[in-house]
Amino acid sequence: MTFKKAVLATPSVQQAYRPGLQALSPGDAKRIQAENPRRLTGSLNLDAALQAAQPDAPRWDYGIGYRRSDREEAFWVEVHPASSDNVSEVLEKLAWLRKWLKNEASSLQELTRGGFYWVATGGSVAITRHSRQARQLAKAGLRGPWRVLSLPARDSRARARSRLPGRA
Amino acid sequence: MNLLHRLKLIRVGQITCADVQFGDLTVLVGPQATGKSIFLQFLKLAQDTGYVHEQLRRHGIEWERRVPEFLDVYLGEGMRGVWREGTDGSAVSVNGHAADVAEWVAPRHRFRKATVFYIPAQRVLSLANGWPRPFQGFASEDPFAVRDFSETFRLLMEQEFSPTAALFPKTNRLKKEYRELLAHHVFGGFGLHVDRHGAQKRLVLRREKDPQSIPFMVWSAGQREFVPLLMGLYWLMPAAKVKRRENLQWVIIEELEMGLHPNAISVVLLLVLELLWRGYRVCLSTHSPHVLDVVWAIRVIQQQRADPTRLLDVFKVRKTGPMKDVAQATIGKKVQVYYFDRTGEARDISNLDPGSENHLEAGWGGLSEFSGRVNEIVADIVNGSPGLATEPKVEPATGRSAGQGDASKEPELPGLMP
Repeated sequence: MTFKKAVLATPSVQQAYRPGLQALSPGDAKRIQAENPRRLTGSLNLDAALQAAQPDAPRWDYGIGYRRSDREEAFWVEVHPASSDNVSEVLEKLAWLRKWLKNEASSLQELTRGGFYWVATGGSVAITRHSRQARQLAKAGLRGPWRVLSLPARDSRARARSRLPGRA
Repeated sequence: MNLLHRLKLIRVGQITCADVQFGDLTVLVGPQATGKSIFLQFLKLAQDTGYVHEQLRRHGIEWERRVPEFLDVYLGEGMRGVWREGTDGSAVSVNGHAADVAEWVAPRHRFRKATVFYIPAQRVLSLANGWPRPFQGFASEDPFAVRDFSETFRLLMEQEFSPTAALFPKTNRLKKEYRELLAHHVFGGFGLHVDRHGAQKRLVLRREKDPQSIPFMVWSAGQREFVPLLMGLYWLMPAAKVKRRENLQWVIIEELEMGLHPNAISVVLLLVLELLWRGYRVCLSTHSPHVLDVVWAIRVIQQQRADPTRLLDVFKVRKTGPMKDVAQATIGKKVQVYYFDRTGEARDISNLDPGSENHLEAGWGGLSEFSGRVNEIVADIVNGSPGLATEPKVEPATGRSAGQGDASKEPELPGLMP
């Protein structure tokens, strides 16, 4: 299953598939980096797609398809101000997304191996890594908040670590 | 004397190049044995050359007029090797000008008062059997900073304090707000007193109206570490209505967190703000993320032009007039943070931006890096994706942006960002 097929198989958002990162606003797209952009297989603006159907729901922002190794994966990205005050709001959105994937988007659920990410609006992060709030996010399975989400290539770990100064 | 605002050490001990521009508060972080302590001891030497000579002479210590031999005395026996001689040898510059360290070693007529008060990491060694040791009670391998601190502690005990009055709580040294917090978080309801055990004076802990004294060796580790620090702070906060002691301009505190619970660390940090309010320039070395938490809060309040008293919320301290003054003064101060790394470099990470693309700054020089890694792995485990922690990698943001790929290898997909 590809990301595109999974979106098209989900009735409530089937019109919302866009190639590459076109579903993202230009400002938000700048916060997503791909080591190999050709691996970006599409995107979905979940917030906009479900605005009419679920106007009061804490809707999640985006889904992004990315081909890693030999398979496609869905990465779920919320672009949101990143301070401790926003943690509960984002966790609420995550809970909504998990429920939506389970109940209404089983095809996308199957692709959800890429995980859930919080990217900071404007790039400003005001949550420390050792804070209680950071641990709340981890416990909920949410990674971030980060200034930029960098989607990796196949052997990303080794390549990312080799970039860190001061390490062999 | 010109105000020292910048000190650079090149090829000294583990340090390859540490170029530090001091703020009113300067914090050094980094792994063990990366040169932080050597750097701070050179700061003391650069500022207080005459005082160091005077104290060594007064206590009958002589040295050969060469830098390595002097450092064996000043940094402690066996430390001569930190100074390398020759064309690619060690060098120091002060305020951007090369310093003649050989001249620092030579006896000259110099200003002999201390301008830097150094509270060393080994401060607990100053208490032997519950009473501060004199300068000459130490061995030659002990650094000058430790011996001098202990001697100052001894003088304070013998010349400034009444042998009968309580040393804690003590009304004329620390503000009431600090006393209350220390009583709660450090002393646990005990008072600090001078006791006589035969002919020997000693410091003991004692509850009010309880004759039973608790001697030094059965204090908690945190209390044993904290009492010398408290005495150092008493020295810096004279009883008279003057903010600073004599000629002292600088305070260096190594590892203020030693042995202390985070709540107690917070109180010590509040006392650091008091030192800033009193006009001292403060240098800290630390392995505690708590210290950088406070620095981060100060910087954010400065950047956001927020109400300075929000800083008091960090410490959960009452917003009394005196404490508001302390907060106000602190927010007006310049704060710098340097990371001493394993390669021997000192890097400016003052912004402490948790979202920084510079992983040293985001990870606060390694102090929150481990927590960050734990968070990521826990998130993956919660998602039932044990392999993911090894895959997606965020920052540094040096990867190509979407749409910036190499078109010669694969056809461009439609919709990529330009």
